[in-house]
Amino acid sequence: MHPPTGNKPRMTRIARMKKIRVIRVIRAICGSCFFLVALSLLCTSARGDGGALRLSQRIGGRMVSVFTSPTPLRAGRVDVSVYVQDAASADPIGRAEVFVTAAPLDRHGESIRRRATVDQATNKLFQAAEFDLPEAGRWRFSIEADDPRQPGALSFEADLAGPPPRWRALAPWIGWPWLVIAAFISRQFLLHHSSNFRLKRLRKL
Amino acid sequence: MNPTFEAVLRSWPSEPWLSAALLATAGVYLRGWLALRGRDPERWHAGRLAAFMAGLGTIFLALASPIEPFSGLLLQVHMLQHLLLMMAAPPLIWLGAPFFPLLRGLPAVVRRDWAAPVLRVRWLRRGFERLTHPCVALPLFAGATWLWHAPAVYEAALERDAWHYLQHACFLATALLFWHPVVRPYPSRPRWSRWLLVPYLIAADLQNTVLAALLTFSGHVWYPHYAEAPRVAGVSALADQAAGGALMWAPGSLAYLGPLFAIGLAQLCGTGERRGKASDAPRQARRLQGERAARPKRGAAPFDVLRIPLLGRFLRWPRARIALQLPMLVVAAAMIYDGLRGPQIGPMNLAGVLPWIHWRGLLVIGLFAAGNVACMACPFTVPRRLGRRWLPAAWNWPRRLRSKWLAVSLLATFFWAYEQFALWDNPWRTAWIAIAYFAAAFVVDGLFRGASFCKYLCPIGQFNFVQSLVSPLEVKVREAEVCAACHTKECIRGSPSVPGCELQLLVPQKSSNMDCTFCLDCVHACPHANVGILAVAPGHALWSETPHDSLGRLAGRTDLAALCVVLVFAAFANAAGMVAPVVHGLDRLRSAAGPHQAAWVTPGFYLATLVLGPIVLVGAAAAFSCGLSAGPRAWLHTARRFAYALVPLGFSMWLAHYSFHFFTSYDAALPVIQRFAGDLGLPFAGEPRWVCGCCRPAADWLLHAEILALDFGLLLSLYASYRIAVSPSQRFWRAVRALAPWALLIALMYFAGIWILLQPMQMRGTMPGA
Repeated sequence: MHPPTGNKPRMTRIARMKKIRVIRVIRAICGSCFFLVALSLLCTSARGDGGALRLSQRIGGRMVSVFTSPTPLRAGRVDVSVYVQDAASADPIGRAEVFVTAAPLDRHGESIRRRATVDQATNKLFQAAEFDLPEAGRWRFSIEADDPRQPGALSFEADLAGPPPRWRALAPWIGWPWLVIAAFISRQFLLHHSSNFRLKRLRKL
Repeated sequence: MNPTFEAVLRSWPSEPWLSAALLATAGVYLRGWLALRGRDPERWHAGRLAAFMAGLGTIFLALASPIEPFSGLLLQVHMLQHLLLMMAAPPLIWLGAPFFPLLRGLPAVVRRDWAAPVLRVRWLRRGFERLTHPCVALPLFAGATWLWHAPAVYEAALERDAWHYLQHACFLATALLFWHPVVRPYPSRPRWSRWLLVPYLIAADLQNTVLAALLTFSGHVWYPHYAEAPRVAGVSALADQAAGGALMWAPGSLAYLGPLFAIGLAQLCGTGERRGKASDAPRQARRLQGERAARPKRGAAPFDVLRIPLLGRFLRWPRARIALQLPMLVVAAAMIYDGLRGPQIGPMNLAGVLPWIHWRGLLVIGLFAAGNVACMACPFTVPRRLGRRWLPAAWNWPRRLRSKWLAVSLLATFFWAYEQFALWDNPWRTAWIAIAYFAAAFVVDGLFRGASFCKYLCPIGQFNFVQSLVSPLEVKVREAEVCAACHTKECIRGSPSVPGCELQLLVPQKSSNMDCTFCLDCVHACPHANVGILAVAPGHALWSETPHDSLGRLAGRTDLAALCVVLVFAAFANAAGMVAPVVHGLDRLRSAAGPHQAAWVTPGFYLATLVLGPIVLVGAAAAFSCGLSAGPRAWLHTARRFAYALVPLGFSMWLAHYSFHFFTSYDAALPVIQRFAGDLGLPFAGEPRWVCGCCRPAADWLLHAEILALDFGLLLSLYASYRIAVSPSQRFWRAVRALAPWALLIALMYFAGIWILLQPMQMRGTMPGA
């Protein structure tokens, strides 16, 4: 015979199984939420340069490849990286004068011209230029790889999605305390359950 | 040098978060390893440390070296990155036996209260044991390898950063599980024969060989990304893929077959198992426990500011306070003079810039970083020395007024007056407020005994007292035994040369910064040099049940609770009164109310935010808290008790708001000082550079810092309310129910604070432009 366990009536086996199932479902939901939150936090970050290959084209004796990030492109900070190679030897031409111009196509607006430099690129094979593009819409990016011997220009068009909501950029700053709170709550529940479990076993003894 | 090779050597990505995480892990491990090595150098040999550090170094090499930027251009480099994450870093980390060193390296509080209870949870341990079972770890490892090498998934990882991070996390996690049974790091126990590892490693090698062979001998490029990517060093996409496959094949096989050979040899030679290796863990733990019990207990002395070489010596000097007050008095005199005689434009006047931008900003930063240093250097109390000489200073402060109610009403009036009369833009009124302060301190402290002005009247003092409850420093006794043996109590009674505490705080019984002006009279009066400025846990007084000296129990003081609540809500109201949506809303209200009623809008706003709002919200939270927990306490008692938990959030809002103005306009004082000096006929400072007085856009880091301040306020407020709810008499679920309404209120206030911080804010006290 089991001694009485306080005023609460003893739980039946079915009820206990139900409770365990509910706890498991809650755990699964919490775990999924945690995973999704972590994933969304990661999605906000973009690599400094590189990213998606936009075009790779031979101009004269040079091969020019252009990468953009983030993927997909959004209004706000956009990175354009240019890789200029010697078409014959595939050696990088790091000292080429490269300018990138971003111009809006949907409306009248000023185009933005930046010089791409190796210093701005993480991968030192590239020359990168960073833009702060104000609006979503269709933009044309023109690349001028000025070489005194072989001047050349190439361009591509890209659709920029709207800028990410401000909270997304700030999500890690606003979100981390809630992870701490979740960890604290989990710890308290674990401790409570484990101490309850030990107490129950002691009572059974 | 080859230009491609030169570019490789220079391409180091910036990964501050990864570097910080790896450094923190290395630091914790090193701390724990040193402690463990001191007890058992044989077990915790240098090889373990070297292996663990090499493991972390390998992760760094894979993710934050030139390998990372080049992994998008060459498949073989990407393969190398994955090999480092899957075959080099995990076994090295396990060879470092990281469990005990990482646990021991954590701060004692974290280890005892957080890590140890979680690690004791049975189902967590069992779950880890199941995951590291060879029959589970191998399928997981092989599954992750094959899944992530499927062209569609691999392409997704190359295109999207999030998938790329997930891929790396997956590889590292499954590899850690896979290598755990192979290395079997201390203190894991042998649960199966080591012979089982022979088919385990052979199977792992087999799947690796098949995948590598498919890649190496494939006639087409698997991943279109690499087919389109520009060629580096003239390597074609197919050759690159073959090289990647070969890299996976040869070193990969070596990584599996090397341990297989070593394990087989050890088993055959009979040296594979050091019997009792794991079973001696409990014995070891008992031995350590015995050692710990035998060791004399040594309480670590808390950090004491008075022991800092130069600063401590200065603060111990009896004239330290007056030395701090006099420069402030000179500044206050200059501010009053300029406020009365100078140009009546806020950004051009000392009385418009110094008090409303610099002094407020430095005050909250001082409270955050140290303690109530603003009261320590307060210039208003300097003339009271004259008042005590000229006036009787013999009366007792009226008994009916010995509470904070007068201060509460003065504070509320001040917040309203600030907005109503645009004090930041009215140097003349600001100067008169300062004069009124000096006069009040002179008269009150000249007529009454003690520091009645500071204790019962001064609104700034009350602000500092309440906010310093979450400061990291406190004037405290160093050793309680010394005070227990002391019968003279100079700290409160004073000595012939130094007065005792004028706020009637007996230092041995003092348990918070409340009512402490950091005057350090007790430090100078104590003949035993037993009073220091010690480091304390911020906010500990908020949930403490011990009676505060001269204040009694916090839960019994409605006036103190009201003071805290008013200051907390004032933090939000004061900041909200400067953001565009609220300013426009109030303007619309004024125009809708008409010319006669418009004057009531600002008082109405402050009545709603400082009086009615707090009564409704705090009252509702207290009523729900009482109702849900079915506790025996009255709702007023609950409201009083939990009101203190809101203080950290309120302080963080003050800190975010005032530091915003300070950091965006810190140089606004420069042209004003130049102008003031010029007006006095002291043109040494040069022509005023008014461009410094213009407002400028806030830097990104400032918004992050503001949010961070609010984050810490939220956490400390929630923790304080949790500690208050879980008093020893409460049951767990009852405490949770008592806490819930307060947690909701705190969360709501936090989001209100975030909303305020994200709005465009008026740059008061600066010139428009820039």
